[in-house]
Amino acid sequence: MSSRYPFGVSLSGWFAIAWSAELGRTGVLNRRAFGQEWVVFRGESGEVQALAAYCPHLGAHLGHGGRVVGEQLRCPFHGFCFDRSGACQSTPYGGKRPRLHIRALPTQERDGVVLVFHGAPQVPAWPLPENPQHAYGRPVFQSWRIRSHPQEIIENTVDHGHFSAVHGYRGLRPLNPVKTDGPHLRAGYEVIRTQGLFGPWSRPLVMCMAIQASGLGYSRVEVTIPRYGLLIEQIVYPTPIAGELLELRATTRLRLFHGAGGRRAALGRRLLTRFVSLAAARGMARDLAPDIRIWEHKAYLQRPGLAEGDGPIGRFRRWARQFYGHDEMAGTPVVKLAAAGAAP
Amino acid sequence: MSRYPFTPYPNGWFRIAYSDELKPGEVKPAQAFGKDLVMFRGGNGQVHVMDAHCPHLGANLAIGGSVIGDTIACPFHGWRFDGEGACVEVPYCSKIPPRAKLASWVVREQDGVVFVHFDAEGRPPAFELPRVPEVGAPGWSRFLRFQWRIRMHIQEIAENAVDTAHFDVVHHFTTPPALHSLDIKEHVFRVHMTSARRVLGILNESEVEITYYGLGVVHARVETGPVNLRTILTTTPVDEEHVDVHIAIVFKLSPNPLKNLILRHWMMKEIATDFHHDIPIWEAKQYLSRPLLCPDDGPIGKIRRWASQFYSERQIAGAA
Repeated sequence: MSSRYPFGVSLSGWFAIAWSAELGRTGVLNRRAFGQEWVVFRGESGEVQALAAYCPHLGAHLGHGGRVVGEQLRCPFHGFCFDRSGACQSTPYGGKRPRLHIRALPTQERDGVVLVFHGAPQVPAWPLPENPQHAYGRPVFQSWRIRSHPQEIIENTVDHGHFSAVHGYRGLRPLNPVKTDGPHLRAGYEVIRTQGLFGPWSRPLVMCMAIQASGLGYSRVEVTIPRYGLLIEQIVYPTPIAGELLELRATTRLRLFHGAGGRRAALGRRLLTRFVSLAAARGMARDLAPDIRIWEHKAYLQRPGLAEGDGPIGRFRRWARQFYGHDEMAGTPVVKLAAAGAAP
Repeated sequence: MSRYPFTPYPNGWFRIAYSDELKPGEVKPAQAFGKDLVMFRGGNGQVHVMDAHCPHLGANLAIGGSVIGDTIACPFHGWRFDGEGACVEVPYCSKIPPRAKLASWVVREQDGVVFVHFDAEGRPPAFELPRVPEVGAPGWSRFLRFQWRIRMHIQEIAENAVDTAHFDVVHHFTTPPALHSLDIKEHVFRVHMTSARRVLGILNESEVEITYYGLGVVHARVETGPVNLRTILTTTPVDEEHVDVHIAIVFKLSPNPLKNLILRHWMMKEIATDFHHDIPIWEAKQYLSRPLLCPDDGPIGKIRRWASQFYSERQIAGAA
């Protein structure tokens, strides 16, 4: 069967490529993303950098035997060294420095996640929004490898109808209309969760959700639960691997509103925060399971049959177009699904 | 490149499931004719088959969809569709969009099999399938079933049965079957032959009648010394490369249960061996539009001419 999507995986924007913890103090990781091979390394100063995986000299894979030397990555084959900008700085032969260059992706590390900016080289990397970090507890990290596309994951944030059918939320009330601002998209909802947060036996819960997506690889949801005095932050990072494969990473962390002062109270508060974070992450995994099942099997319809009350799916899709390069989705559909099935 | 000079999807009736695979209220996915399909049995017992992707936002109804009364609800946004594929409810909207419709397939359920009708031009069925009265009748066994997914064209199975010469080479028959009569009428192609085959070590003369109803459904009647059986052989194209082949057999029960048990095991072994001899040949062979035939080859040209009526595009280039 042909591809379920009329667009490819060469997306532009910030995408998670690893957890910070995977890299250790200095280290090299191999990653497949955007249909290509990459290496991610941490130099001795602690800075992280992603480079294309193949050495431009004779094609060795830098991630299989490559070593970190200072701030550079040394190729296992002939020992050529590349700096964080991807330029070859030295060869073991001495002599003149060859004018070799590897593609380097702008790389940053935040909240325990390594993110890279992928896109056409002439596109400058726009900044991800700053988020208030100080008050949150330690995040819980989760990941899934699924068969889907990042656009499908982010589309759910504006899909009002699925909140009740998939998640059993009632009384969806948009707090803020969906707003787009360059690569950013914001929306806010108030919903009633029929299944409580901590298991099927807990009581229905009013939640306010503030969603901000930045590109198709980063979506941050801030959930406020007045009854428990809780602020939960969940960031979802879908990264395309190749074809229809996707790495879906998510971090969950939270802040408790109430709490007494004092040192002993602070320790108790930290433990409680940790405990509730783990429970919230489990709740999120439970919420995500039916979504994943749908994503893995659904098709992307170019002309969806929308009904009133559906949420601004069309506006979302127009917004999403900016993240495809000239090779991808150049305004025209490539595959027509469903209808194409019958034709030999 | 396709190995065959005609479309992989001929018109006619094709098996999509066995009746016992769909209990009331059950939803199952299926793949046929290059499409994802959803099957479900509604509260009133009727089986419905429809294209699987919801016209709303593309979710696959077979993965997590649920039956409500005689309708199916999409797992993604809860839109409900009736057996004809029409949307009957959007949970959050009173106005149903006019384009909200799923393509639904013509379904027949008989002899413990669920059939769908395929026509490349969307015409209604040109013929109905006859019943096999022995299925479910007292004194006859339950289904003995076999299935394979084979990389070939659906027409190869039809050619195989009239290809009398391959029986002693591929299946080690002592003598090739003798063809007695050939009865070709519209969508029906009936071959009557006798063959000699060892059944449990004893050489037996057996009467075989094979009837094709289009290219998707074959009924076979085999009567030989200790064995009397009816077979429903069905072939359904999965996609442009693969065919699902299913065989369902009922045999006349003997009053001696031990004999039934032995017969059952003998048949299971025999049929599996027969197919395992054929499959590698089918998967690797080419379809020759102009085969080199000799007089004792069996009516291969006749079955090709008969089969050409099931292709809408009439693409068979010079059928022998």
